[in-house]
Amino acid sequence: MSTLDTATSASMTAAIVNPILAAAKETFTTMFSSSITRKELGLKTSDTKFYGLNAVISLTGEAVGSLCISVPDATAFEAVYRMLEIRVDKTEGLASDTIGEMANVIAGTAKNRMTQFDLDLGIPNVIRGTNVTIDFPSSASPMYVTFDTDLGELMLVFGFIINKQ
Amino acid sequence: MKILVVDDSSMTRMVAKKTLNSLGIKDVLEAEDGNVALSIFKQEQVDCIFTDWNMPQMSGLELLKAIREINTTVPIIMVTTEGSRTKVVEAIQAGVNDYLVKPFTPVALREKLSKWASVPAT
Repeated sequence: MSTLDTATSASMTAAIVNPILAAAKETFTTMFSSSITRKELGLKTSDTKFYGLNAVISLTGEAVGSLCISVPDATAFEAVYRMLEIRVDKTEGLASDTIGEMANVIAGTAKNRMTQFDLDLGIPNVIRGTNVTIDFPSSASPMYVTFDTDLGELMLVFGFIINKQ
Repeated sequence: MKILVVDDSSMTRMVAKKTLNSLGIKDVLEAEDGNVALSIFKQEQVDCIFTDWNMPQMSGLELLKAIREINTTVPIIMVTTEGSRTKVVEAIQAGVNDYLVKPFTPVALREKLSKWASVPAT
């Protein structure tokens, strides 16, 4: 028999939220040589505004849900420059690819920190534009966290349920 | 020395290619998934493979197993976010030669590429 837990519980904070925050910090400091400072953290509502470039990745297994990284175009352009020393000014191509890889690395690093769960990582799906719909598990309470980084602003939106025997 | 870099992220392939070029290795082939990589491997004399794990179509682990069925010596290095002990052991059992967990620093990538890209396949 499965046990279900919701995103607002203390156990969810320890099991899911902290690994995601730590993964974001590790990814930015290691991959982009960037500082990263947490700003707001709260429950996602219909009023939560997404930036113009988004990458969504799913995790399945003993915890199920999705993580979305949402950035302004300028953050994505700076990320490309940090990695390749190439200036881009379009969200297609390298900028989208880099945000997809950023989502992949943050989710993968969070997964590695959630050692109590057996999890599988999906493939990132990049969405351009602010009209973003993410399919979270119906019983999850998705959260958002905003950050300041050397690359620019960044928001993570995620919702999971723990589904461990 | 011909190196095959396999990753569904074009940015990551470009980072690896740029690093290899800086090491003096100009002959770098790229593939965006395991299927494309396997096709290239069957047609080209590849000396070393750097591959991601999570990719569409054919994963890096599936690619590793497919190549080990036809070639047991070419060095294959996983460059991936899959860093759990279970996954690393799975890759080692399938015949991977080395492992680099994302996110990595430029120095760590350079050291890993330098180590394996200079070893001729036997």
